[in-house]
Amino acid sequence: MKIIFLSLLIALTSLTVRAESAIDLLKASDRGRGGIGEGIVWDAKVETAEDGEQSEREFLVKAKGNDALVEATEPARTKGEKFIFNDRNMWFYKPSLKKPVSISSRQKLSGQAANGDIASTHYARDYNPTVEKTEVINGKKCAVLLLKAKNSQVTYDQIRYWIDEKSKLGIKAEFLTLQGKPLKIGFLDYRNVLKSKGQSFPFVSQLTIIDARFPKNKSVIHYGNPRTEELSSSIFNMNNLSR
Amino acid sequence: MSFLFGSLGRAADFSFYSDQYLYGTYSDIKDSDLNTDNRGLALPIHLFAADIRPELKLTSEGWDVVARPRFEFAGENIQYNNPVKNTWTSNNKIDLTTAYLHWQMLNSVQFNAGLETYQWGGAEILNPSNPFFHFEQQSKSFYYVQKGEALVRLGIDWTSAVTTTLIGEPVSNNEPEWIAPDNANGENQFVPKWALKNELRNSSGDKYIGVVVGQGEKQKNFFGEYATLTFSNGISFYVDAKHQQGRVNFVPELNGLSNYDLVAPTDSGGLWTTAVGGVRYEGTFDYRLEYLFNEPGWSREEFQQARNSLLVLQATQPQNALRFVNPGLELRTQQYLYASIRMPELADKKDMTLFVRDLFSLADQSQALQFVAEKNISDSVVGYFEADSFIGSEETEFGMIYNYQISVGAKWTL
Repeated sequence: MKIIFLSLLIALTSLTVRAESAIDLLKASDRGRGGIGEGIVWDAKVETAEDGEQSEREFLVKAKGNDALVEATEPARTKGEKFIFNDRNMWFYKPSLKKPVSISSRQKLSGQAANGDIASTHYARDYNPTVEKTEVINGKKCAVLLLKAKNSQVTYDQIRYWIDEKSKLGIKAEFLTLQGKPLKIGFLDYRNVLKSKGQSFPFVSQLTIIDARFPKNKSVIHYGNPRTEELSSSIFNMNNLSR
Repeated sequence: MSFLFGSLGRAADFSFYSDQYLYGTYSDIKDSDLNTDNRGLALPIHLFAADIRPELKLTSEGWDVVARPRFEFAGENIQYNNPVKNTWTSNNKIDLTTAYLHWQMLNSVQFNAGLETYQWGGAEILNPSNPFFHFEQQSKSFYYVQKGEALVRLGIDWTSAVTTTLIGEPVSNNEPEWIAPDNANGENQFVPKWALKNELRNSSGDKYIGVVVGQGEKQKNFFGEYATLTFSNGISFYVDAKHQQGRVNFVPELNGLSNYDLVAPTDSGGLWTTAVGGVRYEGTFDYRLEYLFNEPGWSREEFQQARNSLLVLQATQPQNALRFVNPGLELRTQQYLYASIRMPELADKKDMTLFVRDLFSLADQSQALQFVAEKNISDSVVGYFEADSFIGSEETEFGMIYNYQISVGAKWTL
């Protein structure tokens, strides 16, 4: 009886340790994608190849905590468009609208990129992680996490996420349906360096998202010039959006 | 004081872009006793317009200044019938639709002053709790642009969940007033307005409730409320309402000649409610259904009386016509249904959006049905097609003037 009890206790403890490690890994990986408390600004360029057609969109992204303000800068016809992310909800405004309108973060931004891909990610907030296995990719030992959405407002139902155990950065993602079928596959690079509170750490420089069924369809998000900035929380309040 | 003025000395960034609209409209005008042979209203059947709308923006740390002038060049053809006669006229206008200063005074306090558009709430058809902006039937047309009001606005974010906004309209924007004049001289009578809005929302901003108090048209006191509840399955419910002390709109009244005139109401007491309630589902397409209750509006009988005031040849006919067009009502009768569908990402390249909108009068079953198609032609050009159908007899609210209108145009952005 004691042996059974001890065995159970050891099993439970190891599960707890693994669960904690999964969340800790996820939180650490969010840092490299904008999930920090202070204000960050970066330029985002989305290059899309879909059904043989190429297109580009550019944005200025301001993020702080769970909020983000994204302003479209190119192409010309999108000038004046703004997106506000509050937690998991998103608002859209363009000059022909009288007021901001709430829209789904799952709506397409461009090609394979959804609206929710452009701003900072908070996977630790939005998903419940479990460790599936470990795997080596490009010589890097990765913990492979299965992330399940905490609610239907987040961009993807499930994500299989490869986090480099050494750098604690997410380097590959499979975006899955509720049934677990891959919709899109993403690859991340971290060539940017962000300085925050006297520390420097890697920041995402590129996210490539490929259609799992039609690999020729893909979007590449380039994250440029990330820098910390003093951002007023008021700019993320749609009541204060200048129109 | 440095936190107030310290940023003024820093270099400002200047940005500019410009939208150019080019469009044409054909209107099929109803031949009716209100507008026989188009000799009563002289409405254009053809309209061609070039509309240049630049935005100039100066931004520095903590403040920005935005100006949106407008240069409109339009040519109209008014066609009279019996005998047919076409008259071409041109209407050119230089205007300022927006010009304001935005100042982030403190981290949670912001100040705006100038000509701007400021609306709130979840409803698409109307924002009743907002005393500064009113319903405009053409506001969903692709070429429509809302002229700003001269507003002073102070916003305080007490916490991330609670915001207070104080808005005042101290002076006129030099546009004709929303309500036709009610004095003998026919002068525009601007009155200052103000509103104090308090809003409580959750961290996502998808559930919020607000209360508004203030003074609106003709300095009538009002209070209002608005709320939106959004659920994770894409369904949201919303309401927006205003309760005003007394009516401001003209009402039909028998004159000494047993004809009707539109006069200022004598029953200036009581609480009059204008409210919108709606449901929205956002899936692949975006669906909305709204119900509008307009208590100050005319009953069906009153609408006919008001319409009759335009038909009788009497000294007050021109005044009645002005008051019928601008009666001081968001919409003329009391109950409406509004439905809209937005269909984005259509066509092979997923670069086309379709809109279908229907405003239905429960008083007389007339309706204004609109179809708009918007397609990206290039990185800087968007093409538009719009068809508006006005269904109902000439005695109905939406069937009075037009049978249909068709507009085709494009927007080119520099």
